[in-house]
Amino acid sequence: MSYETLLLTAAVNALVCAGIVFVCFCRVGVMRKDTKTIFRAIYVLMGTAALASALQPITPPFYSWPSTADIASNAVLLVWLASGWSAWREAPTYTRKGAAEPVALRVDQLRHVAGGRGSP
Amino acid sequence: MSAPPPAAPLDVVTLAIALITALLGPGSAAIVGPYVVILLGAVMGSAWSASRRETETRLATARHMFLHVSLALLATVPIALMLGRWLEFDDRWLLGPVAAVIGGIGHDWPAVFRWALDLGKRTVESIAQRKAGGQQ
Repeated sequence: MSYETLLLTAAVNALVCAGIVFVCFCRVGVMRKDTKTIFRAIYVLMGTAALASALQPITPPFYSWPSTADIASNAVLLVWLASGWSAWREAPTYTRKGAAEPVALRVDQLRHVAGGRGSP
Repeated sequence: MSAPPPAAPLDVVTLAIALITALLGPGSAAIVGPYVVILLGAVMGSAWSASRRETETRLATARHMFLHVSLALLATVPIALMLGRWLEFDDRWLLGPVAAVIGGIGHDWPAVFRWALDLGKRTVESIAQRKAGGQQ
């Protein structure tokens, strides 16, 4: 791969990573004191890791040029993060301490489904 | 028989410097290498402290992070050098953790200063009391 191609790949990767950093730190900004530690840790670490990925030619422990696979996986992550944009205008209820998980599909809830537990 | 050549330093910062040397040239590399490590530590710490604050605007979060990353960029090197000498430890390994702690304290810095002042005051008082007790 030529030096110009490596630079272009690094620039595109840095752009995608900048998007991830922006989304993660926007979510960090809307978090409150009662936000679950796991959600705080996820978005802080994801944002920092994306910054490290953007700077990977000069960042320990990467020290390498990004590949097209790096760009693809970072782009998928960015799309996934962007898909929750409207839900994160403020920290969702499920992220607060003491709140239930977002998709808590328990077996005992299935009784209302035909053929489910407890159905006639 | 000649002495074996000295072992090359293998720590992460030396490696970062070597790579940046190749990219930017030797003049910039020695400065940029450790500061990338400090930047990452400081961003992680300041994001953690931002997540502890009540909900704010994006601008307020950006300002909070900018202030604490700047503070870490200014204060990490002298603190890491001081700690390195005190703990007899290679100070370059302390750059990232020190930057993360500086950023992580975030908006609690005034409380930390108050605690340090109280501690200093209590220490001085106890020394003064001990001296007064010794003179009687």
